[in-house]
Amino acid sequence: MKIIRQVCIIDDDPIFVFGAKRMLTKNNFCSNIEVFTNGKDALENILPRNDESFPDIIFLDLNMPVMDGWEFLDEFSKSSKKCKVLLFVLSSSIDSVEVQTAKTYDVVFDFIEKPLSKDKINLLKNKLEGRDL
Amino acid sequence: MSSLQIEFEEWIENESTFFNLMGQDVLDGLWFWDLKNPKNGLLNDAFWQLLGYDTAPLQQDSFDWFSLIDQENLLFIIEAYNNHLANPKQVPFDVEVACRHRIGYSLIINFRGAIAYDELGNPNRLMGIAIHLDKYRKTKKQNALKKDRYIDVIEGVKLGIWGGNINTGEAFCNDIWAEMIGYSLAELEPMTSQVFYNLVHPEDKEELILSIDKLLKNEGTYEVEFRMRHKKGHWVWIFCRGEITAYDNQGKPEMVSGMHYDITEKKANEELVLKYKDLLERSNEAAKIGHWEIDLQNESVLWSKVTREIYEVSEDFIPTIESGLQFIVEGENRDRIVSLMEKAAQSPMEFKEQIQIKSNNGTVKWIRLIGLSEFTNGQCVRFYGLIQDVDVIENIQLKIRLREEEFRQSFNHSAMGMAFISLTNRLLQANTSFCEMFGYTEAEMKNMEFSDISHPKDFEANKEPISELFSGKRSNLRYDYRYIHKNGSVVWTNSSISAIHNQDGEVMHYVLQVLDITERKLNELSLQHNADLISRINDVANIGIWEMDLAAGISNWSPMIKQMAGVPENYSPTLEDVYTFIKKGKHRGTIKKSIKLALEEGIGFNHIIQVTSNTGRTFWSRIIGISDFVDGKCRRFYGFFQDVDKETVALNELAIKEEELRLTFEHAHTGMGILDLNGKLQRSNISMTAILGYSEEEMRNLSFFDITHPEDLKKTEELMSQLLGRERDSYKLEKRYIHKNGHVIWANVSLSAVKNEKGDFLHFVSQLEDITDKKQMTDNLTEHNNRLVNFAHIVSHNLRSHTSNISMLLDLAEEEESIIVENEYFKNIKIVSENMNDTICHLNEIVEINSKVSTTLSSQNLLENVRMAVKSIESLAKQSGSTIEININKDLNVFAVHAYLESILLNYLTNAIKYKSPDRKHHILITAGIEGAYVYLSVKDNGMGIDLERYSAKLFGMYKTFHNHPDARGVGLFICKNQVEAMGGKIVVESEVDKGANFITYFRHENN
Repeated sequence: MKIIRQVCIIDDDPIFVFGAKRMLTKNNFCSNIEVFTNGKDALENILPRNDESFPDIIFLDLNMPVMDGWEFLDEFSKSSKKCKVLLFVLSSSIDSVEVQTAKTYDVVFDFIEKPLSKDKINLLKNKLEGRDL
Repeated sequence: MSSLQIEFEEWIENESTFFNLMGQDVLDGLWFWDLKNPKNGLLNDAFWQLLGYDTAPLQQDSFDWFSLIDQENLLFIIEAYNNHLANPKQVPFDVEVACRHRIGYSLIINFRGAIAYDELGNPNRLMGIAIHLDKYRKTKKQNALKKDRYIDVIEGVKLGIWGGNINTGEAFCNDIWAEMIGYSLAELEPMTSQVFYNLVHPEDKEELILSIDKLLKNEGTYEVEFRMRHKKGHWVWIFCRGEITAYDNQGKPEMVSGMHYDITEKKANEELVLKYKDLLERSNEAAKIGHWEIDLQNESVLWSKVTREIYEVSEDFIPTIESGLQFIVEGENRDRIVSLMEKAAQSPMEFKEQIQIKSNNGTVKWIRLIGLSEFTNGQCVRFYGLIQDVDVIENIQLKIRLREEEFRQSFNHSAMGMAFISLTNRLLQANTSFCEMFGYTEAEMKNMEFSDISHPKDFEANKEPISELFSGKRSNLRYDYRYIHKNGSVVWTNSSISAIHNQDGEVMHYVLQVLDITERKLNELSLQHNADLISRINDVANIGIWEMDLAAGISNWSPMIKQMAGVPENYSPTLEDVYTFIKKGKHRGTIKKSIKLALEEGIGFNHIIQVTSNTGRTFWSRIIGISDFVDGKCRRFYGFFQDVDKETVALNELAIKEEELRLTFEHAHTGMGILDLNGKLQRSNISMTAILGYSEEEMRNLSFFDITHPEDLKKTEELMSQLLGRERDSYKLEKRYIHKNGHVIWANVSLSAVKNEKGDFLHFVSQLEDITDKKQMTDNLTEHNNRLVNFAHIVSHNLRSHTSNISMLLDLAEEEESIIVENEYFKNIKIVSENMNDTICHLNEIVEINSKVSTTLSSQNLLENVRMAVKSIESLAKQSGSTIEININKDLNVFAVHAYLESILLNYLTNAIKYKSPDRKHHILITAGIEGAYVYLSVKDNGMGIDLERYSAKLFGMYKTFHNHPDARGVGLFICKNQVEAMGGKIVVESEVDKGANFITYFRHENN
């Protein structure tokens, strides 16, 4: 597995962001974490970047102000750089319809239900094992 | 320029008086002329520009001064110069000559200047100013040469010249002017404007003065035609043109002058032409004669007003040779005209034709066309001629000819006898039919009297009206009349005779028309003769006859009656006996009364009453009685008797059935109506009125579309048109109506066609069920459901995000400070957090069940699902020592969500095992079957049971447990109930404490 250099969290909930950062670092997932509080900021910031500084993984929340997760997915799907990143929808939603809908997007690698926990991170690590990023 | 300027300024100083006179602004140019060398001239910029030259290149060099001047006018310059030189103080250099503009035309320039002298006092140069005269008043022009030329022209064309001073009234004229009106100049002296006006025709004076006024105001030329009295007394037409030729020093017009031209001849011709033209047009219009002209040289065609009227084209229509021919009716007519025109183009000729044309508006009419060809130098240059609408005349003549022919034909060959009768009642003329009808020849009849061939009776009867006709009291007469044929037989006729009047209203003769109706009449008579007999025979064909022997007082019955009454052949009842056969009471009373009336007053009867035969059969019969009454006494009393039991009974039954149906119809709970095949309401019942609020009467005047909710109109119209178009027999529809009071009513409507035995549509029956309440509930439910969905969203997103944060934080804390796990508070918070998570999951699940079920329902085999569920709890059952018995038909399917069905079954089974009785061997029985529209599934155990009296209300509530069982969570049944209800089913519980419980679940049958 290639080392995960850069993780991007798109979520407006500061408590979740705090916890998530902590967990990802502690569990040696990645320590280079950037945060955007809505889809629009993230899109504007990420898309112009070159391959070098492009994030390896994006954790995307669904409910956000300004531009929510769905809109972000719609926009990001149009981008030519969408294949350079593994995108996870990370939401507290347990609405089965939303889970299904999220999985219909090509760019969505998986849907992870909040809360993020040590077990889930380890599971994720295992999943990414052997996968070329 | 400087040298010229300096010199010029010097000159101006010397000649300032003159210069000042001119004023700065009238200067158009400055010029300089070297007397010793005339070619060494100079002009300033303004002068060059006036002559149309670009100033720059010319300015440098001197030039030939004289080259600018019109060669014809050089003389004037020289002359003026010499005059000036001879006497410079008294005679200024002032001359008007024509100069050539660069482009070639002449400009009249006034040169004014003065001689300059050198130091020795010798004249050396002439210089001055130039004024462009064309720009200023023309009156200032006194070009002698031009004037002379004009005079020549004036003499040549016999122009009278005149002029006058407006202020003084002084006037002048030339001799031609005077000659025009027969005077010499001397005779008119002293000439004033008054002299002139006196000679003008009084009728023209006003216009003349008016146009002079206009001239003075507008400063233009004026042109006017008027008459002047000749010395010899006749009038001379004058064409006069004039203009203002001088202004006084205030700039007002002072002199007016102009010319006179004698146009009497022209005028006379014009008038004559106008007069003739008018006359021609008038006469042509009156006779509807138009003229036309084809000018072959300019290829122009002219149609007069009447011609256009005949062709029915507008004033703007531009006729051509082709279009003219197009109007002529194709074929013979057109071909003839074309060939005639071709011939006329060869040599001069005249043609006159009567042809048919089709006008612009499509009217076909007869016209008379006259054409001539005109030749010049052996060449046809012109066709012209006249056109006359003769359609009316032609048509009338044609009609008359036709009429006459028609009349002659019909008179001669008419099947009706026709004759003309003279005023003296003699035959004038008769047609063949008339003669044949009576057997005489026309000649024979001419010598006979009318009475000779008349039936004496009818002759007498019609004598009066016929004499009235001849005396003029009436103009026609219609009558049935019998004549006597030559062979003596009677001829029945319908006759009519009418007077024929001439134009003045006098009777010329009479026309007699006779229609032979003998045969018909004879038929009529024999028919009447037989009718009575025939009708009686017909009547008695299938029924018994009876007749009362009035003398003996007994009734004679025909064998058929005897058979019906079940009496022997020789039975002859008295009237009293007869009554015994009639049903007692109303029936018998009716007959008694009717017979009495028949015998005493001769009134017949016809009754349907019940009779009883001797064999005891009671049946309905028709009894008809006829009483022949002569001189107030009954001579014969007879009648008929018919068994009509079957028909009557059937009729009565039908009446009862109809009544039943009517009552059902009237009082049915659903609204019912009968519609005709056009969809119009014929009848409606009480419920219909109650539902829609309109009375039956009101509804008849409405269509159902009128009271249908606009949003449902399209749907209804579609179905109704399919029904009316026989595309379907019936339809069912859930739709809205508008109640008379304006409310919206939801109704289940079904409309079906009622057909007769042949399958033809008779009418439609409409049934209407008010489902407004139900619909309202559904609406409420939908709204409720929407709220649930919203709630689900809140739960699954907002609440969840908080709880997930809490559990994440707790996890982190635990990881980072493992010691905290020992803290009692932390432990409890962790438990609370987990519980909360569970609760939210449950809530979400339930909401999802309700809002999403309808999309996932499918047919499920019940037995298979039960077996699977049992299998999955096999180990649990084994552990608790439970036995499970399944008794379900393998073909039984239910309409359910697979996941729900599975979860429900597991819930029941685990519950049953969980709450088994410790005292008995646990047993579960699973059965299923069909009950109405449902499939029921019963899961019955012999466990602890539930105290339904205490708990039934809370049994399916969330978090309700009724046992102190460690695993009791109180969520299972709550979810079960929600799932079952979402699938359209229900759960019923039977239970007794310590006996066991039976959970019966009703599912929708797969077909429903």
